[in-house]
Amino acid sequence: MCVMVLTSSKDRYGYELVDRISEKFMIAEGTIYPLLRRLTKEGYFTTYLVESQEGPPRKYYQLTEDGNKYLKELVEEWKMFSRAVDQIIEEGLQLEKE
Amino acid sequence: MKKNEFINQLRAQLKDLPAAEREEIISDYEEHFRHAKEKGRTDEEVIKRLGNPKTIAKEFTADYHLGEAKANHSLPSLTRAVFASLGLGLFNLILVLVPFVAVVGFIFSLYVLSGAFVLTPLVAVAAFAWESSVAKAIFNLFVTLILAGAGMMLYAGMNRASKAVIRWFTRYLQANLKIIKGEK
Repeated sequence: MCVMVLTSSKDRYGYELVDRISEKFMIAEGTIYPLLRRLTKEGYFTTYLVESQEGPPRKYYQLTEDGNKYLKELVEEWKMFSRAVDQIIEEGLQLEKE
Repeated sequence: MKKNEFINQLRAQLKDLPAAEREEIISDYEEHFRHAKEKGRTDEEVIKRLGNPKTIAKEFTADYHLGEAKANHSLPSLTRAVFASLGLGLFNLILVLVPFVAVVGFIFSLYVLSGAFVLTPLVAVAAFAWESSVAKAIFNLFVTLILAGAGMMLYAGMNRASKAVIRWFTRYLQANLKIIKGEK
């Protein structure tokens, strides 16, 4: 979900995505590329190469229309899930105080 | 480990994939190394953060076989996808392999049953040799011909049913892999 959110405002290249995700989560960076490839195969991303003057060529990931729809579903699900967890935490902590 | 070692290991572990796909994946990682170098990271650091090339390759391989199974709905490609998924987590042994063996076993036994039904008239024909009453032998033949018809229908039904089951199991496997990886 996070890689899709990151690409929803603008296209990003692989390294940029990996860097941003690994800033926030403790995961092996190498496993983000399989995810990107899968989402591309499923039609949620298209990719294009851009040669850049400073440094290596960049493979950009662009969210497709399907990808956008899927992202919205995921975000909705996530919001519902996190609201539920928040509620359980709050109720649990209140009981602890009493 | 150096960059070349990492790339070589990854390439070796991706042997199941078609060469074009494999090189695409390798070039993604090479790009990653080049960008990291720009940012002043050493190869060792980059490799440590990327993680084990074997684990990475397993993910690509499982995804590839699953994609193949989705595309051609055949038992061999589903079997490959199932076995590739086993490498991703121990509990897949229970969640994937056990139901897979059960489902395949069940389908196989129905195929055997339909085959047996189809062959029963041969037994009835052979029985003419030792059956004293001709009327009884003809009756047996009649009954076994009906059985053979039922067997053929079962076989045709099984062909369709097993395709549906393969499709269903492929979806199940996909959902299972999504849960295991937690879809970041």
